[in-house]
Amino acid sequence: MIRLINVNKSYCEANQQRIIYQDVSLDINSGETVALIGRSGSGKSTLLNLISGIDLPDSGQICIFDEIINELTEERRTLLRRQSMGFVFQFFNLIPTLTVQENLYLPLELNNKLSAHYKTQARQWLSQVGLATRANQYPDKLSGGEQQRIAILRALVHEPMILLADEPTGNLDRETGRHVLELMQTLIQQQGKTLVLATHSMEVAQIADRVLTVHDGRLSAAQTTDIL
Amino acid sequence: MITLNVRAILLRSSYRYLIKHPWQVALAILGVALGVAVIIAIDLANHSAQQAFSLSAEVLTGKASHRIVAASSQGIDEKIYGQLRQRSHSTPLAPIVEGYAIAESAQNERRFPSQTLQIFGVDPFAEAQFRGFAADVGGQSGLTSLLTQANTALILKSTADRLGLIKGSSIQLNVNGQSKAITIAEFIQAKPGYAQTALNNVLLMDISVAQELLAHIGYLSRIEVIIAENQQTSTMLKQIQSLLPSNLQIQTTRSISDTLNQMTGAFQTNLQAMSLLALLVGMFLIYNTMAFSVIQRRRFIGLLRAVGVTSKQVLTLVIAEALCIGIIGTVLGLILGVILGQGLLMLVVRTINDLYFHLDVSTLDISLWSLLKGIALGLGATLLSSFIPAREALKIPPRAVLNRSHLEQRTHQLVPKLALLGSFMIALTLLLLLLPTRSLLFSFSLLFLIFTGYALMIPYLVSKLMKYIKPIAVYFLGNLGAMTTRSITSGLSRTGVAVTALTVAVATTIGVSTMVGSFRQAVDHWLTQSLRADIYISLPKSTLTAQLSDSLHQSIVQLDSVADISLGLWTKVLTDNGQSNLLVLQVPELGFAGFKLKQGDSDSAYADFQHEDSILISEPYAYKHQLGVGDTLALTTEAGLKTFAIIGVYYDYGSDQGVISMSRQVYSRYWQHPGASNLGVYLKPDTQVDQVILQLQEQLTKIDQFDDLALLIRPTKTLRDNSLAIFDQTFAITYVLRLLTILVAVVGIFSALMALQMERAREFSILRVIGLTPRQLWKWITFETSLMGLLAGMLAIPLGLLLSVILIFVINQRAFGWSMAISVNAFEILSSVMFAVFAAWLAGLYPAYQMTKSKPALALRDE
Repeated sequence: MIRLINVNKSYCEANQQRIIYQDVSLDINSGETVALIGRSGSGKSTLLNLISGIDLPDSGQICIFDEIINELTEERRTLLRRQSMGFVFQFFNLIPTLTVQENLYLPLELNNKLSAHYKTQARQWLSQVGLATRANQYPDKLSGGEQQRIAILRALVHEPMILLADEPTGNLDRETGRHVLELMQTLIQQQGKTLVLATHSMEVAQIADRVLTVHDGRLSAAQTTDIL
Repeated sequence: MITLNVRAILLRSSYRYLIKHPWQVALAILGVALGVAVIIAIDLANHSAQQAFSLSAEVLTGKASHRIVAASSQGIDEKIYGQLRQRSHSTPLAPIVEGYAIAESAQNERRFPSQTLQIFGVDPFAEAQFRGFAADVGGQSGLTSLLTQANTALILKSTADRLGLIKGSSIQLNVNGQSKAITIAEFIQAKPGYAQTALNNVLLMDISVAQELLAHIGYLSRIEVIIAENQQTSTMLKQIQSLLPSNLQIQTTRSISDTLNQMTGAFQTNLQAMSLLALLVGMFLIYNTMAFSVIQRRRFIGLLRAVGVTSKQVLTLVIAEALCIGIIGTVLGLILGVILGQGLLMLVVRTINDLYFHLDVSTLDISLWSLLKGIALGLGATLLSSFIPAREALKIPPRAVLNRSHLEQRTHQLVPKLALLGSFMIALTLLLLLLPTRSLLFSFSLLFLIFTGYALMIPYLVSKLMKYIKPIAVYFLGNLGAMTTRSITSGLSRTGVAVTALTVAVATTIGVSTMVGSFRQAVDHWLTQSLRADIYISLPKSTLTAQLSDSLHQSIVQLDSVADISLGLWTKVLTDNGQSNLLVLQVPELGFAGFKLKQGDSDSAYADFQHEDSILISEPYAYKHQLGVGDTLALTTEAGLKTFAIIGVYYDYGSDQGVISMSRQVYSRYWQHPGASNLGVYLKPDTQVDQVILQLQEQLTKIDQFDDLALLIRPTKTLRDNSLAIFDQTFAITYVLRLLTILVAVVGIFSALMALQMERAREFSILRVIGLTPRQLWKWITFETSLMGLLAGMLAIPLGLLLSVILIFVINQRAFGWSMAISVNAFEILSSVMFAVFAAWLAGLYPAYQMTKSKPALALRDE
């Protein structure tokens, strides 16, 4: 489903070229959960950005559903992302001027899926996470954990095939992070989605089918000792 | 107490913020600068015109404290002067003969374009005590040369240089078709400054030469008097008055300046009002810009307070930032204002020349007071508009400040209350407008209250209107339409302010253009109504003598195609209200129907006008002097004081000072046989006007006395078109001010809308990640801004129309005494709305471009 072929990526920072990825290749199968672990600044978020198409590699190919997305126009990449992917950020990134419900419906509106079926499903999910009564409140009235739950629901409400999560529990306490992870796992397994998860936490990485270490511009399978 | 390091950090942070947002800062500065520039420009132009007139008048009036004037335009019999000199030999007296002549270059002299010069005839023996410049002519030799050399004149050196004249040069002076050669004997060496300005186009000559030139032989324009200001002043005045025949009056020179100031007073007040309207728009936009700037910094303010910086310290920082922008904007505004003022001065002077009296000034007088006013307004408006939102951000707990939703919730709670307050203000102000006051200042103040009240209602109206606009937006744009309409309502703390500013600006243009359009239509109808003759004959800037007008009358009436003739004479008359305009008219009944009566019996008016000692007065005259049908007015005639019955009040837009109209028959009973300013020719039915004009021209050319006169023979249509052209020219300054107001609004709205969109960069990045395409984002931003422009345009219509109603039925009435019907031009209103949409759309282009080109990944990294 997701394939990276000889991907190179670097950033120019303070007149110096910083290599993020060097000749990286990766295959992720449909329904698989892959965790990327590494230090802060190692390039985990960059890989998610490349897969989602919001950033482009310097060279190489990124294929999503056999389509080379880095050769598509920005418009096509966006449409692909809209329809096929959901994104969960570390800092929630809910739209501050929209209510909880409006934030949840946003992907449905964009995908013209604001039908009764999807709305009902969205409301059910809100109840499941215990936030049905907060539907008409603004995000900044919610706690971090509550906001992240909404963010996860928003990422999945339009039934994308791929979920990309960038440090989803990075801003949460351990207990809350665990609940958020459980929610994400439940929804992913229910729908058979592919999950690519970036984290610096070994505990979080444990939910994955496969763990990859991001280090010195390369991806490698994590050693058992890395995980433990 | 905050340490120096922390203070330095805060200032550095502010500085970096300003540097990081150069466009916003530049637009904020420009908004302040334009607002200040418009105010300064109008103030300086007005002040310069006033100052030039006052000081010029002073130069020519000199030390004269009073002047004796006559009831008729013919002037004072010079024998009176002789008698006065004999009987009051201790009182300085000076005779003056004054008028205008067309100067042309003489044969064998260097050519210059013909122009109007002011003839100032003096008695050299009497001058020394009155005017200093008359003696500044190479000692006494200049004045002496007037006595020793025939047909000589003195002229300002700079004027002579401009016309290419030297001592001994001749010029031809034409008055009423009579030409005379005058030799330049000496130059006047007046001090630089207003003396130079005042004497710029003056020809000083011996009084007898002036009398001959102006066909005033045996008469004087006035006699100037110096009476010391002391306990004996009123006694002396009574003594002098007792020596004068009943058709002469002694007036203070101050009262003449006052009268002339009054003449332009209403015009200048309206000019000031336009500038205050521009100020209102400017202040709204300065508020808009600065409030935005603070609102954007709310999060920063909240963070500062969260880390321990006190409210007072944060407020100081915000005010300091605002002050920087305010100072730079104000300084720029002062410079711009002076440049703009120079241009406006020409328009102001042209209007005064067209409508009131000759004024010659080309240099702006930069008054310190005007500059100080501009500084106070620019800085004051900037500080006030930053202080209010900053104080609001400091009053609430820091945690709440960090929440964007808190601001929006507060806004949504406040909006209905503000709307209620606003509607109450409007209702109360409308009631106060009904008060029978003549104070323009009061009326304008109420107008501003209406603007403020309406502005308070706008955010509420926006939120309500969006409910109706949303389905239309959804119809055209689908979900994108729903999302953009929702974003306008959900961000009301910002969008409300932006829409309000644009609404005020557009309403001003709708209001002023409706007022001017209504006025123009009223003038057009009035001209069509009043100009009943088919052809009009006149002398440019002059009057035909009685003999000439009789001869002309006889020549024309003989033509086969002529049915009748009217004769009109414009002159002045002394009344209890001072000197007033008098129109002496001999007109057939068909022509009399041109008087559309506001008061009076139309059926009997013509007969009474022709035969009784009665007058008609124009609407402005009736309003200014609180007169009406049934009242009487005493006029100083050559036969003494005489009372005339007012039999009608008629509509007249020709003069805001007002006019008294009297039949020629009645006039001849109390004054000498009058000349004529113009003749109206009524043709028989089915006669070709152009052919008759050719006939007349041919006929008059054959008669020597008319050949030299350069008579203007024009069909009514040409006269009407020329009058409307003068009207349009008069309102040129209004159009310029309207353009400036629009410019101020456009700059402000650019600033507001750009800031609005740039602030949402992160939000747009999130949407891009979720799946909003660049094209959709482009549509979102431009549609949102265009929609705000449309809202502003729609909301501006009722306010604009209300403004025009007040301008027409209250302000115009109280300023000029004119009443007129309102005429709404749908095209003008539609184009104002479309302009609002276009300006807002344009303002959205740059942010749309920026947002679509930016990389969401980079924006999201910036946490």
